[in-house]
Amino acid sequence: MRSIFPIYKLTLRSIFRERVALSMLALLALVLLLLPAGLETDGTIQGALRMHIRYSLGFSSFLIAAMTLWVSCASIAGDLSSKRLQMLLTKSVHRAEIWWGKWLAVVTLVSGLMFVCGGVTYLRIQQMVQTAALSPEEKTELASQYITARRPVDADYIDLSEEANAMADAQIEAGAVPENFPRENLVAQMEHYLRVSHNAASAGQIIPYDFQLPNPLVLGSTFQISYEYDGASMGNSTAPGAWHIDLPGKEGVQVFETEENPYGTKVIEVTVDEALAGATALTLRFENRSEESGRVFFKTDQGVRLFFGGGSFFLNLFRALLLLCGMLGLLAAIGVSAGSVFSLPVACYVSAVVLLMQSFSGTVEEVVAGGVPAIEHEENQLSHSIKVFQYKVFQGVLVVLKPLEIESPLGRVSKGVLVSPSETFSVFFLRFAPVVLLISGVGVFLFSRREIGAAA
Amino acid sequence: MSEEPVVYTKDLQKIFKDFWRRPRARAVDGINLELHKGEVYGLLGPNGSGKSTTIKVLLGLLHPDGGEVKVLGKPPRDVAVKRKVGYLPEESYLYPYLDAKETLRFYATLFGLEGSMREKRIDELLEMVGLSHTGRRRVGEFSKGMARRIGLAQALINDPDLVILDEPTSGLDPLGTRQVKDIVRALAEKGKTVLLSSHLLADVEDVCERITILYGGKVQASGPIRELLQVANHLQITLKDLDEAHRVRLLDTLEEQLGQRPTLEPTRKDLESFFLEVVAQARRESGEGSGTRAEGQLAGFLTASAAEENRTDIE
Ligand SMILES: Nc1ncnc2c1ncn2[C@@H]1O[C@H](COP(=O)(O)OP(=O)(O)OP(=O)(O)O)[C@@H](O)[C@H]1O
Ligand SMILES: [Mg+2]
Repeated sequence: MRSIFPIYKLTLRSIFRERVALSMLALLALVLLLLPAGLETDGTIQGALRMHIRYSLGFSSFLIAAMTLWVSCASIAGDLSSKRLQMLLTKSVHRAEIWWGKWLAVVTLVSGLMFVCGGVTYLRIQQMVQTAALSPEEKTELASQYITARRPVDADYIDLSEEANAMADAQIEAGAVPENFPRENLVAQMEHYLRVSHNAASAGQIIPYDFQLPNPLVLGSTFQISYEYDGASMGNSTAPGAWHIDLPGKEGVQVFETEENPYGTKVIEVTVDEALAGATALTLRFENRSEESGRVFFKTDQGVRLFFGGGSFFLNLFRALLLLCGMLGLLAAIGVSAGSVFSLPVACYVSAVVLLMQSFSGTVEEVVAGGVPAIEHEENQLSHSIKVFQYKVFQGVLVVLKPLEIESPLGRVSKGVLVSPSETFSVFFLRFAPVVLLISGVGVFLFSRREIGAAA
Repeated sequence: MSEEPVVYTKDLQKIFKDFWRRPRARAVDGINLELHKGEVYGLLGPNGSGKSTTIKVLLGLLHPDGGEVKVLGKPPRDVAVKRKVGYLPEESYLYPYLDAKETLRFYATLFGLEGSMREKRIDELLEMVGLSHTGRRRVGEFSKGMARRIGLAQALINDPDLVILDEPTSGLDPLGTRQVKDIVRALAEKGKTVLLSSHLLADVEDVCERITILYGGKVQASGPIRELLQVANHLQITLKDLDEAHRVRLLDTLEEQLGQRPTLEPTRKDLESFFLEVVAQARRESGEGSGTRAEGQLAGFLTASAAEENRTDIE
């Protein structure tokens, strides 16, 4: 492992000497400085904040990801095509040392860039908050909801599968479904339908959400109820309603009346009074107080949440950047491995496909979740085999993509939502690290069997 | 160790295949080689005869398709073998943004060389190949011959037991060529084995004890160079300063004694020694140019005694 360091140093050096890094840095600076000026915001400081973090920093991280791919693919493939590898490999170095030296260099570089971008964004936000003309209330709101790291608590998950199955069976019995329609798909549809209904309230109706709290509520402390409307079917532009906080055996401990546009995310600040103090579980009930018929909908996924305590925004951003660096590390591993097996253009293409697939990982997941495709009526064997093959490929792709899938770290930071240290730790060591090791293992294995100096 | 050949191949085969694994070129077709400690061995052949391919197989860069190959008693892909092998490729593939010292330092570090010992070796090698005055100039700016010289230096950085030089004199001026030949001879004297490939016959003739001539990947001739070049029943007599009268008498006597009249011709220097004399003269008169300068002496650490005291048995 002695040779990792000199290779690492030389790779970093060549990245700088070949001016790849410098031109990327220039491009990044341009994005960071010019993009915010070019984008329209809704005029609020919250909007500006979100734009800085999600779009500016988000776009920079996308650029850095693209750069990661290029640099990592070029690291070994470039040395191979310039034949320097011929000289390097006659020295006493293991190919694993070359792989790791290159990977470390790429990761160091792109992580460095990521943190530089993060730092610039942080400073801009600080400056923006300080210079903005805000009323004291606006300032507290900003500090309690945005420039912070709130720990979210989600409502208890309701298992609807049994109900959905029963409904599906009923449908099939009633003959309401075409014969070839796969049952799993029907169940999934029923479940979706049920979940939407569980998050919708007609006039006069009440929907409950149960919460288990991580710590007992402390007298005098505050927490937030955050709910996100998913539209409404009613004539009026405002929807009257009320949120009730219930404790086991005690209803309506606190009640908050609302009269608002049923769109977007709203937040209610709750101060823990004597009645609430010490509670470890609570139920929120939303009551639709509209006179007319019509329903309001909340998002089915994380539509209603509680938020506790404000952690450090700075550390939160730091952890989010760490997670992004972890993803870049994974990408770099894919790139270095691809570069040690394929020629540069092929390697770039392969890793770019993986990156693109990641953007569509939702689709891939859906396909895989759909189960092995069943043979359809009047379908010939060949076309079915192709479908099964596609399915297997998607399954394989998902193994690589799955660990890349985490709830957008920058999205959360921009909403002042905590990216917890324990999540950062576990994603790093339980997801990224094993996958990087796996990819490096495959890469080094193939690299070791590769002939150097033969035609590519 | 002295019994075991340093390089051993038997029926070595290498066939280049295309993407579909169809054979495209039989680059090496049944080559047998056996190199012993301390000898200088020449691999000759026209372009495309399989010299470089054979060498790359010996270095473990290419995998043989058939036959046996052992270097220092081990399969060539073993990293332990690489510690004791030095290689100068056909062309020097260098990192253009490093200077000469940094280049050598990089390769030295890969062999685990460190500190003052490493720096001493680097200085000695640069001195040896005549590049010690290039300072911070990057090797990307080097002329072809200068790049070749730094290539030679890096091949010796680990004080190798086996030195493989692929066309070491290509791109070198006659001065450099002579230096390389001197270095090769000196290395052999110190008990190192040298395998060199070339199609410059004069170079091979000067330094190699045994040669193999390849053509189309096959061995065409092989053996000690003296034996291969002997012209049957021809002898040569060399004399100094003979005046006309003595000449006639000598020829008459020989004709009388042997019954055949020999031909007499003045001895000519070869172009190489003539060129070297001219350059040496010019140098004495006008001082150093900006290219290379070298003494053609072996770096200190490569000489046997120094090698003993410096050896850091890297494992
Ligand atoms: N990477 C490769 N792919 C396909 N064929 C190759 C490759 N490298 C060499 N060859 C073929 O193998 C044969 C031997 O080539 P090699 O480079 O060993 O010749 P050489 O003796 O070193 O020639 P030169 O004197 O020109 O250096 C040639 O026919 C060449 O075309
Ligand atoms: Mg060659």
